[in-house]
Parts: sequence; C-alpha cells; structure tokens
Amino acid sequence: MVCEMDQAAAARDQQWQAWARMTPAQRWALAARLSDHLHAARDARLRRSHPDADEAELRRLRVAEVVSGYH
Amino acid sequence: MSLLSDDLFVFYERLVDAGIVCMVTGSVGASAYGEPRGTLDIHIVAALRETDIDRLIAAFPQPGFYIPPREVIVREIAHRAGHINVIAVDTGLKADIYPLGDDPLLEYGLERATELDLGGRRVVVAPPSYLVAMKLRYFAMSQQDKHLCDIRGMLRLSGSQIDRALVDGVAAEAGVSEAWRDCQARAGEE
Repeated sequence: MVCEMDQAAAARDQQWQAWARMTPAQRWALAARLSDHLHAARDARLRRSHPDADEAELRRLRVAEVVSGYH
Repeated sequence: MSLLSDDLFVFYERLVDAGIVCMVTGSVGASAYGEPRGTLDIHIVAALRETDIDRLIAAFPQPGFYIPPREVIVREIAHRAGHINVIAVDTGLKADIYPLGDDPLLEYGLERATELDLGGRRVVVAPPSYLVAMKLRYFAMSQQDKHLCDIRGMLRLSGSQIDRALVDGVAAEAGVSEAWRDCQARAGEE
C-alpha cells in the first residue's frame, strides 16, 4: 500500500515536471484537448438520454443545460 | 489543434473586433499558468460602459448566440459584481463576461494582462496574481475546492510571478487567509 502511494506521488511529481517544461501555450493546448473530451461526453450523454432528438432539439437541450448551470 | 479551443476563443475575438478592451481569466488563464484542465466556458473581463452596449449586442447576433436583453446588460454593467452570460447556440459553449466596474482588483488585472499565444492566436490573458486572487474570492463565496486546486497549480508552476502581498490583502478581505496559507504550504498538491 505504501509502495503504491509512493508510486502515485512519484508519477504526480513527474507530471508536474512535464507541465513545468511546457510553455503556457502548450499547457493551454493540453487543456483544450481535455475540453474537447468534456464537450464530447456532454454531447454523448444528451444523445443517449434523448435518442429521438434531432440536431435542432439537441442545440436547444445544450443551451437549456448551460442556462440551468448543469454542465 | 482543438476545435473547441477555436469555438471558445470566438467570444473573445468578437469582443476585440467590436473594439472592447478585455482579457481572458478563469480556467483558461489558470490552465496557461497552472495545471491544465478542461472547461466548457470562458471567463472574460471587459472594460464595458453603457455606450458599448450596442456594439456588444451586435457582436453576438441571434440566432447564433444568446445574449441577455439590453435592460439586463445595463443593470449588470452598473452592478459592482455584475456579469453577462453569452451562449453559442450551436455548441452550447458559454462566455461569462465581467464588466470592469469600479473593482480595483479587476483594474489591476487588466493593467497587467499579458498577450499570450494560445491555440495559434494572440490572446490577452490576466496575470497570475489576479487569477489567484480572484479564485480566492470565488472560494470564499462557493467553498468549492476546485478553486484552491487551481491556485495550488499556479503556485507550483508560476509561483515566482505571483504578487504575494497583493493576494494576502485580497485573501484577508475575503476572509480566506487560512485557505491561502494552506495553498502556499501545499503548492502542487491535488
């Protein structure tokens, strides 16, 4: 257990060192890719929960979620 | 390059094209200066006055965008902590636009904002000291740990750029000095 925690801490430290070597632009590029995944996941969830919705209805549902503060 | 990144910066570019002085803040700024994390919205501080409202509304035309009615915008600009939501209807992405108002911290941020190359475009981004100070204010209001996590990330990666005296003052004013001290002691921790 202790060994696993040490490994996790070492991995986290390596991650920080990698980010420290990046420029702000490179860190934002990584954040943008993470954002793409968030966006895709939100879309997939909406399509699953509203399988009959057309694109116009999906647009309406996305906006409704944002307005309600759900995302 | 991320397509979403392009869509998020559309809000910023439309404000700049409308001649409105502004800077990007929030998680986009925190990702540039600290730990990268995903987001579906962009926070922008804008030097908005009532005389800018026509240009603001014209910058986000319907049906592509949702922007609040004029009377709401007037009220938010007059309010000290006002904010205006703009939503891109196609993507569901959102911009939270914060009018400059008379808040000295927002003025401090805008005066010291820096132009960065983000996603292949030049974007004026708030300085790390402002981002940290503002996240402490948000933490004081919401008690959400994500703000402290962002702060610890910025301290770890951009700590030398943070004006500790300024942030000390903001933290004391917001009643979160202990949380700020804890962030400094645990920079980089989750």
